[in-house]
Amino acid sequence: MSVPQPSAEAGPSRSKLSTPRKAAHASGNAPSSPAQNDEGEGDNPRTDLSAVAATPRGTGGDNEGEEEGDEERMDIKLIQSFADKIQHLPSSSDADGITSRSKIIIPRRGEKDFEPLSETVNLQEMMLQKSREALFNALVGVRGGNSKSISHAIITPSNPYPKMLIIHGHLFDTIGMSIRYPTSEKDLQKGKSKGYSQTELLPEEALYLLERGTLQIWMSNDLTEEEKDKGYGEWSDEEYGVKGAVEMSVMDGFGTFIGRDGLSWERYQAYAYMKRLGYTVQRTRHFIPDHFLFDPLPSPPKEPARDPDALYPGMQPFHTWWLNLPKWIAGLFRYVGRNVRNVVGRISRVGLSSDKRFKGTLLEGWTGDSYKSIFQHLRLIPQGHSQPLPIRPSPAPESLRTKYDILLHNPYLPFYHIWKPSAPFTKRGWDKGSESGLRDYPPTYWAGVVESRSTPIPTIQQLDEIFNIVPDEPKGPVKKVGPQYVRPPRPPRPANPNNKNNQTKPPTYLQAILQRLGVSTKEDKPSTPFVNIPAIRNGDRAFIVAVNDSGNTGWVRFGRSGFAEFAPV
Amino acid sequence: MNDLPKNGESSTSISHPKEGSIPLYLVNGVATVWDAQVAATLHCVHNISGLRAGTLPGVSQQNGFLGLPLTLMREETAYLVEQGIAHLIPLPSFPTLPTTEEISQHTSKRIEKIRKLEQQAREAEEERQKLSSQAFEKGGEKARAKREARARAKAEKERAAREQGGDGAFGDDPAPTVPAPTTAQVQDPSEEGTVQSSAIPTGSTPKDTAGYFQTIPSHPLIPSSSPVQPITSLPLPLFPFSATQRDKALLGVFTNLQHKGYRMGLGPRFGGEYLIYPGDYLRYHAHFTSQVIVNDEPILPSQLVAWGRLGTGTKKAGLICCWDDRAQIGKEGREEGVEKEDGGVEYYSLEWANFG
Repeated sequence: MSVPQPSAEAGPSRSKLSTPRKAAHASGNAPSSPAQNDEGEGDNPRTDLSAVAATPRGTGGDNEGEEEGDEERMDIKLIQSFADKIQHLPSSSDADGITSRSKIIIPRRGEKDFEPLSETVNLQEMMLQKSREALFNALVGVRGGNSKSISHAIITPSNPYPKMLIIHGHLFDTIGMSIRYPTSEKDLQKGKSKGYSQTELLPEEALYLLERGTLQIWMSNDLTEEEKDKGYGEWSDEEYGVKGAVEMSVMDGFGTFIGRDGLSWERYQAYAYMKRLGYTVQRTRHFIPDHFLFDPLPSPPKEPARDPDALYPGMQPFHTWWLNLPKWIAGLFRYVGRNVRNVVGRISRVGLSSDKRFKGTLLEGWTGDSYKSIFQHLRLIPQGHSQPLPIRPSPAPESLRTKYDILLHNPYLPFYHIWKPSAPFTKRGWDKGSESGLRDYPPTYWAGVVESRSTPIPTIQQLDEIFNIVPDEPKGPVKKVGPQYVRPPRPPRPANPNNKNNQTKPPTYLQAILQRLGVSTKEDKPSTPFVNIPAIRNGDRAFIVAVNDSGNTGWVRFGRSGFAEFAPV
Repeated sequence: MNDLPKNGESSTSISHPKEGSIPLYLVNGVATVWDAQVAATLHCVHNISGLRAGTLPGVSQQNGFLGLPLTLMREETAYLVEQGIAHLIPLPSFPTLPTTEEISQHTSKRIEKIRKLEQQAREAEEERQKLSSQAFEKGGEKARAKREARARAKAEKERAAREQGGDGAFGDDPAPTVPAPTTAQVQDPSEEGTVQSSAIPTGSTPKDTAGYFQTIPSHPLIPSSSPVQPITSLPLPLFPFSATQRDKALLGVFTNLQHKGYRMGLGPRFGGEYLIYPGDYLRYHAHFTSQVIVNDEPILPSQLVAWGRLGTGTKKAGLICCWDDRAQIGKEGREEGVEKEDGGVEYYSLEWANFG
């Protein structure tokens, strides 16, 4: 029924690391080391000594690595290219006794019984040492940035959703949700408006920005009115920070946000994975915490309802009798057609000397005139996705304490909506994932997140539950948007003179007559039934799943396609 | 480990259950490492690599190479704790806030530090301005001649354009502008890459200064006054691994292979529990993909075929690790012997071969 496909089809595939690798090759700024000679040439450098000898770099090295699949063994030049790019503290802060670059001591093991047997062993040791240095020097980077580009938020024990105080940068075009609050009594007396709104962050958004070094979250105790009047909990230029608060560390951030509101490690890592690639990611409406959906001041609808059907989906659409006219006419034709076919069938059966010879076989009672009708008659189990599935007990509503408990019953339920970077998106238009918001800004992917070691493959009921909520896949050819599809313009090819010969000649007089008589030789080739293979492969409904193995995220796509809809006979 | 530098940040002091034991911070059931030096020690001394899971500072828009924190596999965590190499510190679901005095103390320290930074930045800028103007003056006859020639050429071009276009759109001053360092240029080169989104100052940050480098700390700045009880034995509710028999087998095989000098990586990508490297993965490809068999678990022929072909297809050998808990019990009662050496795990490697 469903066709799990490797992620190559699904779009957000695992990055192949081609860019940094190539950059390292081209620039050649990695320190010259013997490691350059060992580009994954042989499977095992220990036995493949020829690779270590000072030969020029093999060209086949990279291909070998590609075949190997995932980056199972890291290339020193790749690591070095990243180590060169990481962010350190600027040297000016040396004055406070803080070293800008902490030197990592690479522990050496077994130096006592180190015995240089030959030059190669020596070389290998050196290579390894260099790789380790590169690896751990790439880890000493410091999060942060210029004070003018850092955003600030505050978190208090009573509101674990960081409230934005200062917003910098375009990341916030797709991150954070605005919440309306009623103004307090005191402020109302001062003549302020009835409500105010502020931007707050979901746990994954806060954590992503924090560990990216773009957001400083300030922790503070819950503030009394008195403290608020004194400016506590607000940004203070004199204090270079939020008054009465202390900076939250990234470690604290992980402890605080992971495990909150259904944000497991796996879901956070899937979120961060897509965000790092530039996708827009939002939770599906069902999994947005109530805190964000609660509106204390329901504002009156600003614009007249455009589509009454969408606003009141429970209501029957407005109908008058004349709207049914086409339907009646079509029904009439169907009725006539069926009768005609029945008559024809009866006549042909008479020709076949009645159906008595099917007596006692599975075909008994078959009244048809085509192969399709035979197959339909023989079918015991109904086919097609419109048929109801055998019923499985659904979870008792009282067992679902929070809105995230449903994920225990069906972990594949889409948790995130994902938009391609090129897809249009505005937070206002998206409208916290409301029905109209998703219609105006349809997500590119619906994504579930599962843990790979303990989660079994979905049951047909679980899949059906999801396919019932996801929209139809877009029909027609795939829209290719993005820089990877832009081809360099080709010089116009000179018109091929041979083309003229290929043009079909008008049929000769004889052929035309033969065709009209139906005995043309052209029709000899049996026409194979047309099957739209890409459509079958793609399916009519689909969603993707981030499969997380101890922190390694892979992507799988589940599509629904039925052979009943694409019957070639 | 504690006295080693921590990414240039102040370190937290933790009461160690054992001298030299490494703290692993438990976040929602996953052990994490937050210090590059600890990561290096684990990698080089204890043969545990973990998985880098954090956005790399400075190169934050890619997934190919991630940074700290390091997350550890369940087996890695349990192994380190059981061997007494490390202990677990569960992180609270909301950090305990420091007292008001601590906050005000910390705030005054921060103010002092940033003032100093700003002062330095200002001085550095003045210095740079002076130097650049000096360099501009001292550029010598050659440079000046070049500059003038450039200016002349530009003026010439503009005049030509004006004559052609006739609308006089290019009415700029043709004189070369002095390259005065603007605030945008003062940014430290090391910050390039992080500031990818152009900053639109909407808040009330001071605009007269060039700004300073603001660090997002990775460790808590004010160590918690109420230390959490470190965990030194497993399993427990916060980390339930190695409670079931299957878990015990996984851990048993992991520990056994570690003692034999192998290193383990994540195996599910290759259809097994672990990838088994003969040494540092920076240097070697994995040689085996493991399949852990508990006690007398039967093996179907089709499974053998699958494992064998899988191993060959990925240029590895399948390794069937048969773990027997009865041997474990027997081992404890016995003195040094053959059983002790193989730890109750038998290994069979599986390779696909054909005739001819």
